[in-house]
Amino acid sequence: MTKTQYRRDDRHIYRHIAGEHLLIAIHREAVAPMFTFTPTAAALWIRLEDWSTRPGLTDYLVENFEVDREGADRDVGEFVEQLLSVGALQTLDGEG
Amino acid sequence: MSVAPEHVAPSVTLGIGGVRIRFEAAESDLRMRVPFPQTRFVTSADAPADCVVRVRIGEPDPGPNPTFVSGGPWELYPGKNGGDRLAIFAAVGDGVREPVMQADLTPNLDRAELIVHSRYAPGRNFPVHYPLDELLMARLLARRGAVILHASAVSEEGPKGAGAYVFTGHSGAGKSTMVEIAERNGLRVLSDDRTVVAIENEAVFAAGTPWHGSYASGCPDRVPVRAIFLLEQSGADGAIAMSSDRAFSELMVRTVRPMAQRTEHVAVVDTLERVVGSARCAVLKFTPSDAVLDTVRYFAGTDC
Repeated sequence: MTKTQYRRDDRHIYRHIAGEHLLIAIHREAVAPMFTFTPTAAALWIRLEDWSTRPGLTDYLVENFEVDREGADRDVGEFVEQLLSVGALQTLDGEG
Repeated sequence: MSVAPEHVAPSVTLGIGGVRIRFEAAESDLRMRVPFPQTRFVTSADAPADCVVRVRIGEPDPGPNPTFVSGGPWELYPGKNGGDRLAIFAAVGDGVREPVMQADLTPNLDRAELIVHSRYAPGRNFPVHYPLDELLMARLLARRGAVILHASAVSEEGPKGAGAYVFTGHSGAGKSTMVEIAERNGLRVLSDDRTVVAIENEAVFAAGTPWHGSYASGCPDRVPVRAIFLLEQSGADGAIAMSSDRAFSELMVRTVRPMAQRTEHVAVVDTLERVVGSARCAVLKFTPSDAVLDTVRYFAGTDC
């Protein structure tokens, strides 16, 4: 079974300013030059400094936030897809 | 004070926003020609330059594989010894363009070797102006806690010394209109299109640049910033304070960022984060009349 791993790329910069979590694209012509995160998403972005699988990210949310596994898995899935759509993630397919 | 229409010499140093670039001829019969308004930014060669650009005539040939395509007249290529190669192109017709300049930069940007096509240096006079000067300045400024904003800036004297107001906004928002209003009311114009904003020991400064809009001039003064305004034309005048995160977002999309290295992008982000944390920022709703200056001064807390 393939287990895809994800890691944030270096073409985006994260900042927490005046309570807002911002992700800034280095290149202006990026799909999304800048957008905001929820605090949970920001925590996932920080976690994605290292290679992580979706189940691993789900476990992290369940352990650190008041969220059930089903909700965490849904949030992780949506967040990963969002980051993939703007080219903010590297992927690595592996055998699980 | 009169300003020469142009300055021609074997070497010339431009000073913008506290950064100095010296352009010097690598060939004995080559001259650096600085047009107006860059002439207002020519400074003494006595102080050391942050970057020395050695210029010679030749055939620019940056190579086949750019590392970054700006979508404008410049591209980046792999350079020598870990540095970058900046190539500037000009249209030659039928949708074709060719490189007219090629600068090999050292990794820390302290030196550059510039090859210029002879067609771009008529009479062996190399014109020192946009876009090369802005492309180099933006990267050097970023490394020194400064950014170039799409903004106009004006300054005036007060009981506590000179202070600047910076005006930004989308195209047509009124940056040039604010310059016109300010100038006819005796304020000094630093710039009408590109302004350097810098932070030093948590104090924010604005400096003029030669890269202009319709005003066609600029002033090299570096002045403490009293407030930064995002312009919105309206039926009445009013200033509404902006949150730091909104100010950061609004300034970020209006920053000139011809950066090659991630560290330079990070430096720009760091500078803007500090600027919005230190400067008063507001949305300025205004009618194009002199009365808007009262609103500007009131928000900035100016005693003028």
